[in-house]
Amino acid sequence: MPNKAVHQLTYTQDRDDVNDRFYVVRSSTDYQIPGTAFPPKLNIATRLITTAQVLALYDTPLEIVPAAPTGFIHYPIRGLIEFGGGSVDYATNTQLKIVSTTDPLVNGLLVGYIADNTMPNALTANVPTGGVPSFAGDSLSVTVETGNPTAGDSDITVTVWYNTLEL
Amino acid sequence: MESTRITDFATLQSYELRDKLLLQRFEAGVWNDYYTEVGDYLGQYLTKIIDWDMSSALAEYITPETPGNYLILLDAQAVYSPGASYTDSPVQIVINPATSYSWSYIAELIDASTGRCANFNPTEAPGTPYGDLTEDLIISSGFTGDGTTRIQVRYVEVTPI
Repeated sequence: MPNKAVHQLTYTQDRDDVNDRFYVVRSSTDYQIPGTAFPPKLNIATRLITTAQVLALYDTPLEIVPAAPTGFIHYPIRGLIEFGGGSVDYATNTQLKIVSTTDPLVNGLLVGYIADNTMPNALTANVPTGGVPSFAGDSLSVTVETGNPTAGDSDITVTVWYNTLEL
Repeated sequence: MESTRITDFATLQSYELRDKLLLQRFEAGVWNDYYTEVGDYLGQYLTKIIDWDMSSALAEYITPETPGNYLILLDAQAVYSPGASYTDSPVQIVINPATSYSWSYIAELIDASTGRCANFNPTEAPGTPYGDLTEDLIISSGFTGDGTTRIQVRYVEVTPI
C-alpha cells in the first residue's frame, strides 16, 4: 500500500479490470479486490446529427459507438435526444432508435421521440419486457423507424450510455 | 498519507462521482500506484439507496445537484425483506417525474413471508416519450406493509446542451 497522499499519485482515467487491484476491508480483514469484481463501466457516446442528416436518417444510419473489440459486445442502456435550433417539428417517421449496426431494421435497442423539438427526451428500451439483442463486435448506430422523417429543421444531439461486456 | 488503518476514517454513506479511489495496477511486471475517480472507473452515473420501513407511505425525491440539469433514470430494483406480521397484500412502488405524470416506472411486490425482488418497468407502451427531464424524480408508494424494502435507483444527471 502506498504511504502517499492522493496528490502524490498518478491519475488514471483508464480501467484495466484484469490488472487493477483495490484495497478493501471486510469484517476487519484486509483484502485486495480486482477490477473484474466491479460492475461494468457505463460508457458514454454523443453524436450531433444535422438537419440534413436527420431527414435522410432511415436511408443513412449514423454510427454513434464504434465497433466493439473482438470478444466484446456493446449493449445500450439509455439515451438522450436534445434539439438545437429550428422551429419546425419533424413529422412522418419520428421514432428515433439506437440499433446494432449489423441489422438496423430489426434490432431497435432503444427508442425515442423527435416529433416535438421543444421536448428533449430519453431513449428507452424498445420493449418493456424481454430483450432485443445486439451483436458481438458490432457498432451502435442511430436511425429512425420505417422511413426518413420530413419537415423538421433542428439539429439533434444524441447521447447513449452503454456497457461493453466481455463474451 | 500517514500510515493508518481504514477503520480510523469516517464512513460515508454514498459516493460522489469525483471521489478518489486508490488502486495499484500491474504493468510490465511492476505494481504501480494510481488514483482514479469513481465516475471514471464506473461511469458517470449515481445511485440512490432508499431504505423504506413500510410502516407508512413512501415519498422520496431525487433532485439534480445543479438546478436545471436533466435526470434520467437508468434502472431501479426493490428488494423486500419480510417482517413478523406480513399481510400477503401487494405493494406497488412508482417512480415518475415529481409534478408531471407523463411517464412512470413501477415495481410490485407482495408483503409476504419470504423476501422478494422486483425490477421497475415502464407502465406505458414502448415508444411513449420519456420527457419532463428537468423534473425531480419521486419514488413513492401509497401502500404499507410489515417489512423493509431497499430500493436502489441508478440514474444520470446531465447538463443540457
